[in-house]
Amino acid sequence: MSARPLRLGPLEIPGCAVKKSGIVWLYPDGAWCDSGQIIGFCNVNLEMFGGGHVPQPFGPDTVLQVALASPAAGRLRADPETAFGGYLDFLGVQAWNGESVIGTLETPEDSEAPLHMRHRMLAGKLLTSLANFGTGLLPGWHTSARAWRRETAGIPKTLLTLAMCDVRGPLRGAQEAFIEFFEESQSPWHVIVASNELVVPNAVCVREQFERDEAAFELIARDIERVIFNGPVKPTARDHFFAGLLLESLRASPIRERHDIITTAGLQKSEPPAAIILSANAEQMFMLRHKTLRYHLQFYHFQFAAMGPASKAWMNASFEQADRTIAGIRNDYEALFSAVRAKIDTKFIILNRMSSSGREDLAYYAPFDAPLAKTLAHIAAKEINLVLHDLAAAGLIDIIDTDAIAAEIGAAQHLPDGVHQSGEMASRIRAEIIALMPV
Amino acid sequence: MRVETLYPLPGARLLVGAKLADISMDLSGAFAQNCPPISFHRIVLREPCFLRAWLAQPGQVCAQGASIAIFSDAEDEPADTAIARPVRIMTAGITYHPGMWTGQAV
Repeated sequence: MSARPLRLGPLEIPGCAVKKSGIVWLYPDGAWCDSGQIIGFCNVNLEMFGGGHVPQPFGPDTVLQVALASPAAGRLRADPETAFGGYLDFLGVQAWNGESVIGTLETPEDSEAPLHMRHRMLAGKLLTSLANFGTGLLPGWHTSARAWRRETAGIPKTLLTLAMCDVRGPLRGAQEAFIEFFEESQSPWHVIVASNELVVPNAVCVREQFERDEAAFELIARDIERVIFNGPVKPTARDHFFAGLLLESLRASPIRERHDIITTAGLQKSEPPAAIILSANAEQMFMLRHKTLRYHLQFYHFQFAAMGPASKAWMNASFEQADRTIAGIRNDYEALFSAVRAKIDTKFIILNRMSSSGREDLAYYAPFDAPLAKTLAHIAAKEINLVLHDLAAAGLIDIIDTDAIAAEIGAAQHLPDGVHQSGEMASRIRAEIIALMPV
Repeated sequence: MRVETLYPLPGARLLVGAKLADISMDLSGAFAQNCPPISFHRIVLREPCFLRAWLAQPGQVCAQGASIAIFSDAEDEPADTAIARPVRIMTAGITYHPGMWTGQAV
């Protein structure tokens, strides 16, 4: 065994001061670490040199962190002086020095050559800077959480997920910080998990959001202002919060957004997504359609309880139910693919749906009116899965077969509600995603 | 388990295949979570009977195994007759619909 110095590693950006917090070590002194294992992290602040109005990279509402991955297998001897404790493990109080030694790694090789930490970059764009974001890995309430390897040469390809929990879980992992994704793959991709907390990312809502211009957004905003804030029902704090969140949800399309990234080439802008992941669980059998502006919303049913009285009045007065059919969902998918591919070259990956349940003891279908997919959740799931097969056969999508994985390893244990997976199931889905992202 | 929707009225004569109630199950238990794992189910009759009374109402959370309704074979069976057995039902997973207690805003 030989003790090799662990250096922090380079993170220099021309024209920019890079500051870091103390290091939070994730393993105790003497722990064995595998090569590539994330063993600590620190927060990072970037300040561009110049006057007060110089745009700052990553914007003011982004939490930027460097997760430190071990460059080799060995026994960790962390320098306790690198952890400052308290708020100083949180605030950017120290200039980044890539040559600083932060500990040693006892490795089997007979070498004393220093090792440089590998950097797994984590960025979380806060929904609002009014909310304190706390500590830990990727803390806070994000509109998007991103991860990539800093050591990537050039601009990495971007994988965008318009996430429901069935996609978010496998990518962000048990600690929500992409740790398993990094440790189980060598993928150089820039991964974005976009979290639209209010509007379900179904094919219609995603397309409308992608196509919506500033003028159309202004019409929606003025309507919300008129009815919720100046309507017949007095708004409460819940209404203000709901309306603000809805406006944020409708304002920007994650597909159109470009992000700052740091690689060996320095600070760069991400390219349009080379792949977009959707979930078939987002495609429900009805949506809401605005009676005059004609845009669509689909909410998670539990979110109705979070609305205030003015929001509920607005929804009841301004929206009508828009029923969907299985054929219509296929058309909606095709319209989305056409709209997006007219602007960017990307591929779509869709997680299909769990299409059976151990909680059913359905002996016959006679009590249910046709079309069965309108009422029966697992008939709808089967028919939507068939639509995905048709789309895949036409070369329009790749499928991640959640249905088959759950059936193979046991849905009762690994996918009890059809959406939220166990760790093992998340790992299986993650492996499928990684297989579709060529290095 | 939460009762979401009740369909027939007390006193109704029900046939095989009659829809009785929609219920929901929330696996998130006692902790608050964005995107709680809720699934919806419909209870359908597998035998003809009369609905005598509902013991629960929409929105009510019931313990597993709790009785939510009383049925009888005859329309005029005395109300104080001892409960003989569970009514024969089947359960199907269903899609959310706006008639449910959950999401009453629309």
